[in-house]
Order: sequence, then C-alpha cells, then structure tokens
Amino acid sequence: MTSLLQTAIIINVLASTVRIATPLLLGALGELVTERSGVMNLGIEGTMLMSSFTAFLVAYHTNSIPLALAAAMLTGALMSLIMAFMASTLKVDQTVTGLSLNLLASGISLFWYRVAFKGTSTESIPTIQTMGTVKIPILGDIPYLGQIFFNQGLLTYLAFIMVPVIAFFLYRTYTGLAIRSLGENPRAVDMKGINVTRLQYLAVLFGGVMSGLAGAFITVGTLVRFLPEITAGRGWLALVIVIAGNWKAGRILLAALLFAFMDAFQLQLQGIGIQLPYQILLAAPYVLAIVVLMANRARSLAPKHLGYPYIREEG
Amino acid sequence: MKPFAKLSIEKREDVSPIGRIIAIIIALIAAMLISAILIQLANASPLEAFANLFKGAFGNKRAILETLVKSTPLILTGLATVIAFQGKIWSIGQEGQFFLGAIGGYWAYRIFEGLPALILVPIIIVAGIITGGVGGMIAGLLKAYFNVDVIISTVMGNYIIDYLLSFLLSGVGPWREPGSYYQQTAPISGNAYYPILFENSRLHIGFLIAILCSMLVYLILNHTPFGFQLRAFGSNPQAAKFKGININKIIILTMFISGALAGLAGAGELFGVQYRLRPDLSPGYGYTGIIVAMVAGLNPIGVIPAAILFGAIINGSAQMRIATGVPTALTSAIQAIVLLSLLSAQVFTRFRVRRAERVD
Repeated sequence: MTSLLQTAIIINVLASTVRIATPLLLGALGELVTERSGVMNLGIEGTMLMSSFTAFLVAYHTNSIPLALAAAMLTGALMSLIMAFMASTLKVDQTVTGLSLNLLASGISLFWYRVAFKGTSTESIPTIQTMGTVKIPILGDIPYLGQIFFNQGLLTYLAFIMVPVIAFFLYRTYTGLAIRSLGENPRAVDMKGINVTRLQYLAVLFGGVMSGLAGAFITVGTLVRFLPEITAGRGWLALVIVIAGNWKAGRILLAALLFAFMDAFQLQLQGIGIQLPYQILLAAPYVLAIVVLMANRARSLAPKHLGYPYIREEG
Repeated sequence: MKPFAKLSIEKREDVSPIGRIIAIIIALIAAMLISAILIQLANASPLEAFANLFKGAFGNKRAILETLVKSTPLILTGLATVIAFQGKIWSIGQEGQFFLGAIGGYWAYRIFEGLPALILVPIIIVAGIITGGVGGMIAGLLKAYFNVDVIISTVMGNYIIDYLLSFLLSGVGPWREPGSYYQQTAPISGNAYYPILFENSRLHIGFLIAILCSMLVYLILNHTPFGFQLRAFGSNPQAAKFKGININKIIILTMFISGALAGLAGAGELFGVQYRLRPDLSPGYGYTGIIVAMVAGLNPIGVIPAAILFGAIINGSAQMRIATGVPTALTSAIQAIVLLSLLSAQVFTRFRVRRAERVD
C-alpha cells in the first residue's frame, strides 16, 4: 500500500514537473531566438502577463480556446513589436525598454481587469473553462511514462516539440544561421546584404509569440481565473533559464525541467502539510536561480553583440 | 537645389538641457493622449479624469502636502536608481530593498521600542539604511565575485524579499499582529514616529532627508573620486579597468548606497506615514523610482521635480477614481507609457538630422 502511494506521489511530482516546465520552456525558447539575434528582451515577464490576461479575457467572453490562444499570440507579438521598434529601429537602450514593457503590462492588465470586471465582488471571481489534457493514443498507455509525458495539455506537447525544432532551425537552416550571426557580428550580416533590422524584428516577434503562448498556458492552460501579477516571475525565470542553458536549446530544456521540478516538489510538500513555512518553499526557485547563475560564471555562448544596438556607420 | 536631397543622422555628443526638456514635454503629451484613450475605454471622460487628477494632486494646500508625502519615497528610490544607472549597473532591486529597509527599521523598533523618540528614530533610520544597503550589496558582491547579472539577481531578490515579508507577517511568523485577520504588524507606538513637518498633514521629516540625500548624491557623483570612477565605469567599463579603477569595489559600494537609499525610503514610509508594516506598504515605489530617475535624466537634483510629478499622479489618482470611477491602476500604466514615450522622444535629442553636404 505505502509503496503504491509513494509511486503515485512520484508520478504526480514528475507529471507536474512536465506541466510546470511548459511556460518556462516556451518563454525561454522564444527568448533564445530573440537573444541570438542580439536583442535582449527583458520584457518577457510583462509580455507573458499581458498575454495571459488577454487569453483569459477572450476565453471568458467567447468560451473559445483557439480564439484565446490567438489573442495571446497576437498580444505577445504586439508587445515584442514595441521592443523591436525601440531596440532595432530607434536603437534605444534595451534594458530600460524591457523594464518599461513589464511596467506597462502590470499597469494595463490590472487596469483593464478592473474595467472589464467592474462591480464583481471578491466572492464572485470570474472564471473560465481551461484547456484540459489530451491523452496521446498508445504512448499514453505506457505505464508511468504515459502518465508523466503523454497525458498533458496541447501547449505542453508544443513546448517540448519546439526544443528540437528550434535547435534545428538555429543550426541547420540559413535563416537560423543568419540570426545567430546577427548576435555575434551584425556588421558581417549587413555586409552580406541581409536586412539586419528585418531579421531582428522577425526574431523578436517570434520570441513575443512564444511568450504569448507561455502566458496563455498560465491562464487558459491551467488556471480558471486571472489574478494581478499572475505570472509571478516566470518570465524572469525564463531569462535565467536561457543563461543557465548557455543559449542552447537542449540545455535550456534541462534547466527548465530543473526549475519546474523544484516547483512541483514544493507543491507536493505543501500538499502533504509539512511543518515548514510555505514561503521558504515558494522562494526556493528564485534562490536556486541565483545559485545556478553563481555556478555558471563562464558565459561562453552568450552572443557577443547581445544588448547593443547595431548602428550602421557609413562612409 | 533639392531641399531634402540627402539626410544623414548623426549622433550628438552632448544633449542640451533644452533638448531634454522638449523630449520630456513630448513624452508627457504622448502619455496623456494614450492615457486619454485608456480612460475612454473605461467609459469615462478623459478631461474630467485629468481635471480630477490635477485637483487631487494640487487642488489645495492639503493636497499639495499629500503629493509631497507621496513623492518622498520616490525621491529616494529615484536616487537609488540614479546612482546605480550612472555606473550602468542595472539594479531593479529598489522595490525589494525598500521593504528590507522597512523590515530592518521594524526590527530595530522591536529591540529598542522603549527608548525616547530622540534616540529611537535615528536608530530606526540607521537600521533602514543598513538593511537596505546590505540587500543591495549582496547583489553587488554576486556581480563582482560570481559575475551574476545584477538585473536578474535583484529581480530574484525582490521575489525572495516578498516571500520573506509574507513569512514574517504570516500566521506562523513572528511579527503578525495577534488576533488579526490581515497580514500586518501591530501599529507602532508614537515615540517611533518620524516628526511631522506641518501640523495637520502627513508630511514628515523624511521629506527633508530625501532632499538632503539628493544633494548628497549630487556631491558624491560630481565631487568625489568615487563618483568620477563610477561615471567612468559607466561610460566605458573596459577603459575604466585599464585605468586601474577597482571595479569590484565600485560595484559593491554603489549597490550598497543604492540599497541604502531605497531602504531609507521604506523606513520612512513605515515610520512616517503608515505606522504599520503591511505587504502593501509600497504601491510599487521601487519601480516608479526607475521611471523618476529616467525622466530626471539620471540627474540627482532633477529627481526632485520628477518625483513630485509622479507623486502627484499617484496622489491625484485617488480623487480621479472617486470622481470618475477610473481604476487607480491607470497610474502604473501612465508611468510605463511616460517612460516608453520618453525613450522614443530622446531619439530626437540624441541624434540630429542634417542635410548631407552635396558634392557638385
């Protein structure tokens, strides 16, 4: 009996790990492509927050998951369009731009939420129908593994499939090569006659759409309601995961799973009702993030031109 | 002669003060227009909303003093940002360090509670400075010795401090007011209050401290070797290294001062205004401080009018909500919009468009 219960708990923790990794992975993979193009988008926390809100809003009004996802992707694209415009066209400081995107999202989402659900008391918090899980035939019936990996939501499958897809794109396609070169030496890319600004826009927009999906997962993917600051630092963790994963898709997967495992583990401990202030457990992923970065002193694969605007010098 | 035959954009080396002011005005107008759209979306009249915002902020003496109350922590978090950003050390830990200052101040208060005000208040101020400063310094140490990005470490720090405060005020925590339903401490006793500057107002001594600090930061930045080194490091870290500047020392010290200023803001808000430690002690003063600093062009004296402007928006928003029903959350949106439009408008001051010389 006890061993059965233990197995169930372990499977539960691992399945939660895979689920919790989803938004981290989506955000981090998008940011990977963005950063490889030389743009540091610190606004992904805000992009995720804003998208999780619009996904919620659309799902609430239309009851349609596809529309909610489309709204989230569109929001992500719009937010990152601001980033691309500021970073790539105006060549404004990327750090401050990213920060202002986060502030913008936290202000507008709360403002809009209050306007959209005016008069609703705290007792009657508006809720939506979430996406639910899709069990994959045959694979889903494999003992243990089926429950952990193949009984998840669609966005989770997408996040994991994107790992090899993005690795392939960055290392095996012409556009991927161009994006990587952009982060290393934009002048060389420019000399080859490639439109630097256009390519950077594409990379940043892709990152925004991925963050949009990450945000959608947080509301329509898992939670029935929206709360202010619902992303709770997941966007920032995605940024840490890109650094910890040393700007490589495979390692980013491992880093995302590590953080997600921490979170799943603390949820399980809370569920058991262990005698420990739950705040310590909640703070653990952020402490871990700092420790991981301390251990990761050599940033060998960081794009050389990351965070600096490319200004063409003529003459 | 074709007038605009060929235009070239070149970088300006020095930004004129007039150019800066024009950029700020453009940014404020753009922010007002975008905010007007948001207010319209909330089914309210933008003109009425702005009028009430202004009335709430500057309508009478009481409103003006209250605006100064709201701008006091912003001057300090703004200065905390200025000193870090002058060295291009991108700290966003001001929000967390604000709470650390309040936590440190409250801790000292619990230990020295019985002392007379003349001794107790300075102890609280020093405690707030030290705890905030140490919080900032940890991020500095992590950067100096482990090359941990300051942005990331300070953001992670904000979340960690958030949970620390939540624990201290939780049912099992040590500081929860006995029998209270809310996450809050018991009210502090009168001998720990910051002295009030004007009768029947909430404007406390912290405002004068904040003004003093902006002069102090000005002196540090412009008239001390440390200030020169910090700005040299900010404009070109590589060159600073070759000049033999001890970069680690600069980063650690800068982060200590930055954290100390934010901590001072937290202690002031707790012992000067709210008299009770709660998670909502700050409506985002740390983040608004970043915008204040940017609007001030990272000038420590310019922080004062910038902080008053944003203090006015925060203070006036309450009146706006009462009169028109526009949620006060609009203020955070306005702040971000001001920042984004300011960044865009600065492009016009940083670059000048001129006609290229024609070769005939």
